[in-house]
Amino acid sequence: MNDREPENNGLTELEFARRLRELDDEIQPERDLWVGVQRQILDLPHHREPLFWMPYAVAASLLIAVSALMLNVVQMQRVNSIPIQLTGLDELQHEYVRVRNPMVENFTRVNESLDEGTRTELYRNLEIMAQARRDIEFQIRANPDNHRLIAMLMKLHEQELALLKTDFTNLSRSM
Amino acid sequence: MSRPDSHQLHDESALVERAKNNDYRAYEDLYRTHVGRVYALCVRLIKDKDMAEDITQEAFVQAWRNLPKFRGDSAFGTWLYRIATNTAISYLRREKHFKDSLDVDELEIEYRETPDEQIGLEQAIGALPDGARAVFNLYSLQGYTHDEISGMLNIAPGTSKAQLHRARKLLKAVLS
Repeated sequence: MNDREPENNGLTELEFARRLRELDDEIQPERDLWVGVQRQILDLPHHREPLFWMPYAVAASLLIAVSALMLNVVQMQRVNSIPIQLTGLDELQHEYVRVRNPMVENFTRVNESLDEGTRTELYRNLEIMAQARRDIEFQIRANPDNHRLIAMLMKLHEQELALLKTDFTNLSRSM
Repeated sequence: MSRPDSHQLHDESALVERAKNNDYRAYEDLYRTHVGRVYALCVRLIKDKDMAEDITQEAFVQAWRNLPKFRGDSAFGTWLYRIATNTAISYLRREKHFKDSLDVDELEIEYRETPDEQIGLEQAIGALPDGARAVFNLYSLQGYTHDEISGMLNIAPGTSKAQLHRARKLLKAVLS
């Protein structure tokens, strides 16, 4: 086929290919669809209220992790000044995600034999800690001179990672 | 289309990780980045704008549900567009939109202000019969092979090729 000659008085192959290339990659919908998307994803199971019970040993372990965090918040007045650079916060976040993600996968695998109610509660508490982390990061960006926030964030990292290291199946069996 | 640079990919990876942790604000950022391309894909396949919007929403909800399975082997956008394509095709298959005959000789363009107004390619694609339009979109715009298309649409590879040939012939005729 000759790309320059039209077939049956239609567009040439070359011109057709050019018109294809010029098609817009994006078309915006007439209405904002995010509202509907958000409503549906918030209705999905992991956003619902959790079951309220779990094995005592698991509950105790979670309580210790969160309580230790609270104690450290109270003691933060004694923490030495930590210089805050927002670029440092990005690096801290990046490093934390790099360390945390494989631990999340391992945590899921190690604790998959727990009953559904306990797993749901564990993940809800991890979600609470993750949301607390995001809230603190947001506050740091808004208040870069507040050194206590950085210390709080680092302590939260420590607590979250300690939780992710825990094999709750062993705790349940030790009841 | 320009390829995202490594900085943009890093930012998007961070958003995906946050979304995996149920951070729906991060997921909204991903939605804003990709909704234009996802909707373009849906409206070209489905033609009906209202239904295309519904399918676009459904695609993002499906992607959210399946986020834990996303391992980063491909770019997030590539994975998302695959979900959107499958969602749109599932709709078309449910509505049995692939029974059109191969006999249509000419596209009927619904509206022109003047008889000699130049027809845009977008409008012409929208006027294609459903089967031809689906194959044309999947092959020429999305880059799927005929074998892949035959599996997605439950048609023979030969039918896929015939529909593509028909689509291109109709489009070239109306665009000239």
